[in-house]
Amino acid sequence: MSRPSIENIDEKIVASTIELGGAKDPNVDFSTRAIASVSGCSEFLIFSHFGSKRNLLEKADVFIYSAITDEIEMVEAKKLPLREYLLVLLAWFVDHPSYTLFALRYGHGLPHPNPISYDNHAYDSFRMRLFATGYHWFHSSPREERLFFLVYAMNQLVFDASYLIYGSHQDTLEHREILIFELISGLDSFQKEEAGV
Amino acid sequence: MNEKLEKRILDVTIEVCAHNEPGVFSTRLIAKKADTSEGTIFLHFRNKRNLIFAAERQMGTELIAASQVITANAPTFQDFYSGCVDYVLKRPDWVAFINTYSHVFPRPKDDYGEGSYINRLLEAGEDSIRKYFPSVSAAALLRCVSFSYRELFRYAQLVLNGEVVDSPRFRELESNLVLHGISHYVEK
Repeated sequence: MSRPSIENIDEKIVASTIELGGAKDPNVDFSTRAIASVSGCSEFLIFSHFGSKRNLLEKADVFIYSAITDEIEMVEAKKLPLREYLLVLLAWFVDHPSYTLFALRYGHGLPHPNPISYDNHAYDSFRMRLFATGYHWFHSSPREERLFFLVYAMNQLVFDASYLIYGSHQDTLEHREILIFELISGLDSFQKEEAGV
Repeated sequence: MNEKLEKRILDVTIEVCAHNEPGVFSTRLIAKKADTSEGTIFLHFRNKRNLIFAAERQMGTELIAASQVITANAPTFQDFYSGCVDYVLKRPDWVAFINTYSHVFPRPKDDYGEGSYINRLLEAGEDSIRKYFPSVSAAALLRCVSFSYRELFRYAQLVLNGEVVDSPRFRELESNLVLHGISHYVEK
């Protein structure tokens, strides 16, 4: 029997990390032992390939925000109105619960408690791609501000998706539209609701 | 367990969660830093999940008490929001803790509903921001509170990560996003 390639093992380990770290019923300190078990390898192999748990989480993080950016670019290409654009992205986050919950808990694509320790092109590339995708919405704003708006929007979508995934908000089309309305109109949307808008 | 020891354990829990590697949470370390035993922690809190919730409740109660003071000296929502940003930026451990651990667990059912911790907290928060939204119903105001505090911690994390330089301009952008949404900056 041939041995699987190292690349495939790494991919499997990263996928298992996302699966465990983004589980709907989570374990607060999901262990490398658990990751090894799900991946079908030893803890020693994980440490020999990734060096530390932090490095492994960062690899998983890079994988997820690349997937998020791929999706944003794909939806962007459809040139939808803002409301529909956000609804489609919200649906994607809801349909990918482990990505969404992992991004929320450990992601660098979104605000993360720990400073970004890896120094590679992945995060810069993510920022550049995100910046390019949102250009037409905010084209007259300065570059850093455009990125700030986009990160704000993506973060709200991830939070909103997590409420729908956890079931703390009922997942209906009407409810999704309310969440998007709040994102587009902010706290003003609550006042408009009162006025029956 | 006396209140002093409980507070010490919860403060240390926040500190440890904020500084440890993500996905690593050691009650042994918490016990050592709080100068108590793991047995005492588990006897009182039963499990890690309850310990996290208790730490979050303690923090939430302190934050709301602070925001009630901030609102007294803040004529506009933007002033109030900026005051809250100042407050949480001085507490980076809180920011790290909230942004990671408050999302790790779905909230327990008994945290919701009449008289629950979340409702008491939101009602206290509602008092802080009611004057900025005089025409909004109580139910909508509760959602305003939840939305505002969630965003407050997100902004603080961006600043603490060095991804945004905290400045009057970014605070203005931030409070406008919270208040008016992204449509405020979308070109018509």
